[in-house]
Amino acid sequence: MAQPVLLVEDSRAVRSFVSSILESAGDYDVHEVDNGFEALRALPRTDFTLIVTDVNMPDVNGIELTRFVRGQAKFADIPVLVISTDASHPDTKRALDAGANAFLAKPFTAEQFLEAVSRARGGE
Amino acid sequence: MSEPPKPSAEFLSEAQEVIEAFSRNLLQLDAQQRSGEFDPDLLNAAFRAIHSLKGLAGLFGATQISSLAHALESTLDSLRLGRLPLSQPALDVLFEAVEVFQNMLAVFGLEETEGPVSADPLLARISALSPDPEEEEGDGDLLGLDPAILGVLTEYEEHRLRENVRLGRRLYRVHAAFDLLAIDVGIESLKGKLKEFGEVITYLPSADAGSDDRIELDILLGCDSTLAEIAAGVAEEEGVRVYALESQSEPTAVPPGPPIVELLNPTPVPSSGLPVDDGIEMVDASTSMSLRSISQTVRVDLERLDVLMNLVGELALVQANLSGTLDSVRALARSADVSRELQTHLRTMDRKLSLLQQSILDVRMVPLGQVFDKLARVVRKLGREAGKDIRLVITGADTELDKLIVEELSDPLMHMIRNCIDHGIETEAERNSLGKGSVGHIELRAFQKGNRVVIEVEDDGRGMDWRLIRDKAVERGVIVESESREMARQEVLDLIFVPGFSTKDVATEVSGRGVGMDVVKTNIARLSGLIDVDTAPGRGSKFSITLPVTLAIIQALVIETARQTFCIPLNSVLESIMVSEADIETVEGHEVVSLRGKTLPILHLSRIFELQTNYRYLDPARIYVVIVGLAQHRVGIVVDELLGQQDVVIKPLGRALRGVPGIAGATELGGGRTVLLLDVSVLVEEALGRGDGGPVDSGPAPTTEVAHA
Repeated sequence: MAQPVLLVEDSRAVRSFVSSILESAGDYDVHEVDNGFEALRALPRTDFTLIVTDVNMPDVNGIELTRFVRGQAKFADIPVLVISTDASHPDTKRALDAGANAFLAKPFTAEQFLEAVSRARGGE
Repeated sequence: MSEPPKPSAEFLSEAQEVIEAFSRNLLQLDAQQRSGEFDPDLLNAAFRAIHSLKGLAGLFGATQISSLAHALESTLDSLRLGRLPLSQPALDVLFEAVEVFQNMLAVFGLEETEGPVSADPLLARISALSPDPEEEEGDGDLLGLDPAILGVLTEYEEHRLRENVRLGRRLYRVHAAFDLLAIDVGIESLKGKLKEFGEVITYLPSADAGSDDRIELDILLGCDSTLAEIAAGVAEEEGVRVYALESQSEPTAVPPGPPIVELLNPTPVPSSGLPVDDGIEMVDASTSMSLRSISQTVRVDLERLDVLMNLVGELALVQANLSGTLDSVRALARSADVSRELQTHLRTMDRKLSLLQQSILDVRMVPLGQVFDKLARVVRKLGREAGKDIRLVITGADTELDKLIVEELSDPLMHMIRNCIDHGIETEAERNSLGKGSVGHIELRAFQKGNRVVIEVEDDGRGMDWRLIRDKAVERGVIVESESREMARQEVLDLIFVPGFSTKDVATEVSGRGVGMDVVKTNIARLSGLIDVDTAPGRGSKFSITLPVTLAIIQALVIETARQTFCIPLNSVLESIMVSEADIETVEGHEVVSLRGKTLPILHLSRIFELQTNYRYLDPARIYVVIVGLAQHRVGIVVDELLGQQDVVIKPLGRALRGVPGIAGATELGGGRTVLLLDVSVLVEEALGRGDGGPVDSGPAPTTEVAHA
C-alpha cells in the first residue's frame, strides 16, 4: 500500500522537487496542495502518514496548520515535517513549538530530506 | 551524495514568475508611496516573493540568486516589520534588484551555471539601507492575547497585530465555520466583507472543534469599526460570530512607546447586546473567486509551440495535396460516390485544421502587461535620472497579443518612452512657467480594434511643430522645397520616420522627437504593424501602433516571377489583373498602368531584388499584375505566374536577409522549399519614390529605376 503524504508548499518547482524525492525513494503517494486552506480540505479525506509543510504561506501559515493538526484527535499522530528557508528565523521555532516533529532548512539534498522525514517519524 | 536538481525549465519559469510578481508589487507600492500611504499586504507580498525565490533558487543550485534574495529578504523583512521606512531610495534598490535578478536568471538559464553578473554594487546599496537599531517590539504588550494564538502567528502577523493596536484600531476575533467542500468559496466571501472594515491579520484553524466535513476558523481582524457594525456586515454569513478583543486603554491614550494594552482572552462578547445571527444561508458562490493562488496554467516553451505550428502548416499542405488527389479521382470513371465521400471528409478535415490552428494561436497569446510592467520601471528610473516627475498611466494591460509580437514590441516601445522622457516632457521649471503643472504624464494604452490591436503612447509634453519639421527636412535634403510646399501636415509628420531625417541634432532642434524613429518604424513593420503620429505644439504627442493580433500564420498569394517564387500577404492584395505590354506606359520615368481610370505605378520584383538583368515578359500579351494596397496607396506588382493561395507559417529570416528591404520573412512551401514573403509596405514606398535606404540618402536624384532592364 502506498503511503499517502500531504505536501503543502506554494512553490510549484519545490513541490515537484520534493515529490520526486519521495516518489523515487519509496512507495509514497504525494498529495500536493499550494496553500493552507487546501491542506485543511485534504486532511479529512485521506489517512496521511506524513505532512510536509512550508511555513511562510498567506492566510493559513505552516505554524497554524501544525497547531491545528496537533489539536485534532484524529490527526494528532501524523508526523509533521516543516521545511523553510531559515533555521534561525523565529518562525521556525514557533513551528516546532506548535508541535512539528522536525524541521529542515532549504536548500536541501534528497538525502537530507529523507533523513528529515525519518527524524519526523521518530527515527524509525 | 546526490546533486542538486538540474536547473529545470520549471525552476526558470517559476523564478521568472516570482520576479515579475515582485516587480508588479513594487510598481504598486511606488505609486502608493507617492500618495503617502501604502497597503501593508503589498509589502508582505513582496517579501514573500523574495522569500520564495530564495528557497527556490537555493534548492536548484542558483546560489547567486539565492544569496541576493537572502540579502533582499532581510531588507524587506525590516520594511514590512516597520523597522525601515519605505523610502524612494529603498524602492530604487528594490527596482534595481529586479533587473539584476533577471540578468542572473537569463545567464543561469543559458549556461546552467552562474555567470559574471555582479551583484556587489547592489549588495552594497542593500546593506547601506540598514534598518534603525533593532527596535524590539516589547514582549509584554500583547500578553492579554491567548498565548496559544500568539504562538502560532508568524513574526510578521504578530507585527501587524501590534501595528493595529498602535494605530488605535480595535481587534476582533471572527469565528466562522465552513463546509470543507466549499471552504474556499466561503472564506473568500467572508474575507471580502471583512476587508471592507479593516485588515485581516490571519486565519487560525480552530483546534478545538471540527468534524470531517466542517472546519472552524478564527480570523483576526483589526479595524476602526464597532462590534455592531462588523456583526451587521457579516450578518449574511452562516455560522459567523464576532468577538471583540478589547483593549483597556483608549486609543487616544496609546503612548508612542511600546503600548501597554491588555487584551482579554477571547470571550464571546455580544456585550453590546447585539444579536449575532447564526444559521443563515450559505453565501453566493458566484460572487467569489477561488482562493487558489496558482492558476491552472502550464508554461510551455515557445519552441514547442512553433513545432506544433509548423506541423499544422504542413498538414495544411497535405490537405491541399489531398484536394489535388480528389480532382484526379473525380476524373476517373464511376468514382462519383467515392469522390463525394472523400470531399466530405476533406471538408471536415479542413474545419478541424482551422480550429487546431486557431487553438495553437490562442495558446501563444500573452497579455501586453508583461511589457508594460517593464516600461513602468523604465519610466520611473529615467524620470528620476532626468529630474522629471512623470506619472505613467497604463490602460489595457490585459490586451493579448502573440507572444512573439509582445517580445518584439519591447524595444520599440522602450525607445518611444525614452523619447517622451528625454525630449517630449519639459523640465519641471519649464512646465511650471507654462502653467502645465509640474507633473508630466505619459499614457500607455492598449485596446483591440477589430482583429487588430492598437497601442498608443501619448505624452503631454512639448509636442512638435510640423512647419519646423518641414523646414528642417528641406534643410537636410530629405525633401526638396517644391515638394515641401505641397505636403500636407500629416505627410510632413511622417517624415520623422525617414532615416535621413531622424538624427539626433535635427530631432533636438524640433524639440526632440524622432530620435531613431526610423528604427522603431522598421521594427513595427517587421511585425506587419503600422505606426502613426499626431502632435500639437505645446500640448504633446501621440504615437499609435496598429498590430495584427497574431502573425504566425497568414494567408498568402503564391506567385512566380523571374523563375523565383514569392508569397504576398493576402490581406494586402486587392485584386489581380491581366494586362498586355502595350498597356504599360511610362510617366516621368515610372512605369504605370491604368486601372478604371486611375494611374497605378507598377513594380518589377526582378529589378528590385536584382534577380535577372535581362528580364523579359513570358508572354507580352498576358502579363499578370497583382494590385497591392496599403492605406490609400495602390501599387501593381508584375508577376509571371499566379500559383495560388495558401496558409503559410512565417519564420524569421536568417541573418543574411534580415536587412533586405522588401522582404518580411520566409516560409516553407511543400518539399522543404523556402520561399520569401514580400513586405508590401516597403514595396509600396519604393514605388511611390520614397524608398527607405535607397538612393535618397546618397544623392540628390531620387530614382528607383535602377538601370538593369
